[in-house]
Amino acid sequence: MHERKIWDRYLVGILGSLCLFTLALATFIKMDRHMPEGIVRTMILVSPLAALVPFLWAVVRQVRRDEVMHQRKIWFRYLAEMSAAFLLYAVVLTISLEVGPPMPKGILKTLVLVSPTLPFLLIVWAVVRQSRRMDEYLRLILLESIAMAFGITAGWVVTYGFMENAGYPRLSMFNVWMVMMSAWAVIAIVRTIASR
Amino acid sequence: MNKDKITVHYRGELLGSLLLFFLVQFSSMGLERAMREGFERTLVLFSPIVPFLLMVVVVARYFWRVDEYLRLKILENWGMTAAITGVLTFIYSYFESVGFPRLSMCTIMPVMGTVSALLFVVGRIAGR
Repeated sequence: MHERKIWDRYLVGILGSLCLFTLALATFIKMDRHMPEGIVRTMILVSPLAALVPFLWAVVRQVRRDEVMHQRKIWFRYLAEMSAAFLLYAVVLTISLEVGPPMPKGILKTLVLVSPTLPFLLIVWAVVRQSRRMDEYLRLILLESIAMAFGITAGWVVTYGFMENAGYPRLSMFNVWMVMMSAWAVIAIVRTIASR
Repeated sequence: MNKDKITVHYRGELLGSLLLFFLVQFSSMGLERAMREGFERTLVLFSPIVPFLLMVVVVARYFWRVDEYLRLKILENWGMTAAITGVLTFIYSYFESVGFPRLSMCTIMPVMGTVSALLFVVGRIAGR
């Protein structure tokens, strides 16, 4: 297939599945509390994760097209590690949210509710391992993207800090992580398009 | 310009912009209490963003003036700072669900600065 067509298909797959993920997440946040227990509620709960399947499929297809065997190997290893860590995180998070809230206040409740941070560290570890396996050039690209995301997050954090002084509400620290990851994803997509 | 001169210039510029930032920040905090709600008050509250942008320009100038090696070291420092800050904020978000208070976004910048400085010091000690 023509190279440009391959890239177009890849980008459509990635962006389409990300849009689907955002839509499923928004539906879940809006409807979760208003719905009675049942199969429909469970389906809405699982839908954001299901939307990640076409994303993963698009990435796997793209990796399979790589002609260099070594590159293909390290990317598949990364995808396997990342998926396993993410799945473990989802399982631990679900268990902690089910078990934690009804428990009496104390150190045990805190430990149960904080437990998802352990599989989360595995996700970070998967990224670190992948950066070590990469060649010099790709590592530099990765570093540049993370540094740019860092700059954008720092700018957002400072701006929102001033907005708090003007009366805006205090947000959860989870938002910092979301902004950083979204900035990283946008930078990666823009650079991919620009490098074609 | 040689490496030492660039570093001296950078430290001077950064210190100057940092002092200006604190000056504007404390002045705006003092002024806004005496002001009524409105566009002028919002402008005063947002005014520290100008010296902050000046700090960004100083760092960006330094980044483009140094050689390839130092640029890579700076990138590594920023990358690791982003990762550590991301992990710390993510872990704290779970503590929030247990009852810890929501902190102001202004607390993130000192965390980022401290992590970056610590990484710089550790790198210097390890590089000896």
